[in-house]
Amino acid sequence: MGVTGDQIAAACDKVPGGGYILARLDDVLNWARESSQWPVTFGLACCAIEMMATGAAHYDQDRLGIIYRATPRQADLMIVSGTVTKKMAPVLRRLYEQMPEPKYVIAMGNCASGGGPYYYDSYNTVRGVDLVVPVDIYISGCPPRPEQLLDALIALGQSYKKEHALKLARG
Amino acid sequence: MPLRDFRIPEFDAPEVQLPTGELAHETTIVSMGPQHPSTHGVLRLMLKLDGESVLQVVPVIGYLHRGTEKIAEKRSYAMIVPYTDRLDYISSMYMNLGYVRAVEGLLGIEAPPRARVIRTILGELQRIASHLVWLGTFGLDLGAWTAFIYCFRERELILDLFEQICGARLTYNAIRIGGIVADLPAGWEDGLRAYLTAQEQGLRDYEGLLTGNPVFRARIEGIGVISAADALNWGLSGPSLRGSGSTFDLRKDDPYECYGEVDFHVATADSGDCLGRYEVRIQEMHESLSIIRQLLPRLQEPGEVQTKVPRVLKPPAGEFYAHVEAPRGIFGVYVVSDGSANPVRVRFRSPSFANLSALNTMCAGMKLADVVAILGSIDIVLGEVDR
Amino acid sequence: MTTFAQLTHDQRAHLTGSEEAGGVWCLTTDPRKVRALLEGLRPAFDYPEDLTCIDTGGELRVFCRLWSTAQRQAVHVSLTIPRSRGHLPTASDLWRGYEWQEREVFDLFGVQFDGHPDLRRILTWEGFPGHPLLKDFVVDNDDSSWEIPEQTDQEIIDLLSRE
Repeated sequence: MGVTGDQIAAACDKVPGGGYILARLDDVLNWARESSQWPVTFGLACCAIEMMATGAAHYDQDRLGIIYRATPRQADLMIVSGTVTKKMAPVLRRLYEQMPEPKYVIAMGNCASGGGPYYYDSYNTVRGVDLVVPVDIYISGCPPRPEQLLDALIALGQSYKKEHALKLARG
Repeated sequence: MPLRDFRIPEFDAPEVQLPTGELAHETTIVSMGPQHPSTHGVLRLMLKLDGESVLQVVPVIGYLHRGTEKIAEKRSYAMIVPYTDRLDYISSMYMNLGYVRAVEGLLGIEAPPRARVIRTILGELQRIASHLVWLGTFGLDLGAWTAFIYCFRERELILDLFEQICGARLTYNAIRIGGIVADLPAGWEDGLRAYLTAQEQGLRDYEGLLTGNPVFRARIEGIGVISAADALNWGLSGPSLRGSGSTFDLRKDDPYECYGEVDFHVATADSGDCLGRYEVRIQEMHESLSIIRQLLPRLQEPGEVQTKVPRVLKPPAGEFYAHVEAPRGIFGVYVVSDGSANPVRVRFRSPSFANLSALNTMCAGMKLADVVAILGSIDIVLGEVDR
Repeated sequence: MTTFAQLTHDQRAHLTGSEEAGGVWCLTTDPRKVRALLEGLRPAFDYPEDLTCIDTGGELRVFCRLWSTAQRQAVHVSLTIPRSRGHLPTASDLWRGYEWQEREVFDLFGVQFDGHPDLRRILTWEGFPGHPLLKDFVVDNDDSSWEIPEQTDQEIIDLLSRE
């Protein structure tokens, strides 16, 4: 983040021969992954409306390269936005398994993180999506504000830097 | 905690036999959803198709069934209000209002006049906000992306107004038993006036984008027709019913809060198709703006916004049924008390549940792509369908 | 325009009690008479507003609310049935809107509706253990025993495969 086309051009100019730049392939891949996170469109409940608001005019998620994909096969990130019920859990797991590696999960809101207000006395609620799929980032709030979702997405992007992208791609 | 192990059920559709010779009358069963961009949440449709023509639609619901009615039996009366927020999360204010009116009826109390004015204004703002989400996503379903961006632009202004009152953007818990959470903050009315001006321009923008758009009209004109008699018989309500020519609107037929004191027109359309339902919602937004404008002078009158209510509510044994005209139709709340601090039964009659049940009737003879338009036009929210 | 006195007089054979409370007409009946009562109410009360059930602990009370759009009048019909193996005649042929409402009452309370065209579970899934809104259905608040249920689409496939 923070590298503009001008800066790259200026840096390349200094390299003897010009037009070349030396970098670790992992850094380049991670930089690309960080700037183009594609979550699967998967609205479950109330939090999905805040997810939509994050993608709409005011918060404008697109400027961070975050574009929703309607199919899990093109996505590298799943935002579980809302209450997961026992009826929904198998569908959720199947969607997760259809996503290509490397894949990440954000549990958005209290329900997805741990059952939220539906933890007690509900016969159909899964008490946290982490019982069904592994979760990378939890966001608190009922529902979380769009700023919190953006913060989580940026934090997830930052975490890619520590990863060995080539190894991940091999699975 | 470790992940739970389980088998993912396979979708065993009957084997499709490729026709030899005649190509007609080949039926296919297609499962659409629960993860589908146009099912507005976690609805699943099982479709029986003959080529592109729809023979039968069976909606499968319950993917967001959280057991709110069971939970309500274990909570005190005041603790249920936040759960109502999460029923129809696009119009939480109205869900609060419906439940709170039922409990007030049970207790035999009424909110003070100022609270009633504010409740009416909040309700109408909520109606516009809800219709804006509908308009945006309806456009999105039919391939019109720009309207979505425009609608959410004005919706943010409404959410800012709500946030100033209760601090939340979506789940407000603002309408409380016996009144509202707090009086209006200083300067709120100026914000409201600024919003009204912006919204009027906004409505012109959306209509410019959609109403006259020939591509958009071709997708919704004459699609999903249901007659007024059928619609009543199926229990449809709200804009989905009024798009068929019925004038049934509880704000007129059984007035509550301040609706008896304002002058407004019940929006209807005669065509009964997706276009009719679209026109009704657009007109309703204009009417809502007019209702808010009429009530603005009454915000000058000072007064209490909360009546005295005991800290622990123990309504007398009995029952009460309250219904309100929520943005999607009639939201009914039935509360049964046995005199203790917890209700015996809280029942939520949700408009989307009834509206969705008529989907098969509306889709008869339509094409697969029309199902998306019809589903968009009845504007369901799965939170209240499943409860 | 029907008045309350006129309605209760016309339907007196099908009623076990009636009162007017807060502008709402409340009628009580029993499972044998309910069908005739609903048929009598059908012409005037054209809107099926609500249908639900209340578990009072001892027995189940089935409650339905109808609305007359012409007269702007609500009527409540209620009756009690035994907790186990309770069954009622369906009203879904009188008001189509009750088709799903009856499925919901069946799903959550286990009340059988005789003559219903498609009485399947609606909110929970095929094979759900018990009827959750009954008072003796205890929710386990400890999730250690929790498992994801097996679910199939067999009922829906069967329904769609019918001609």
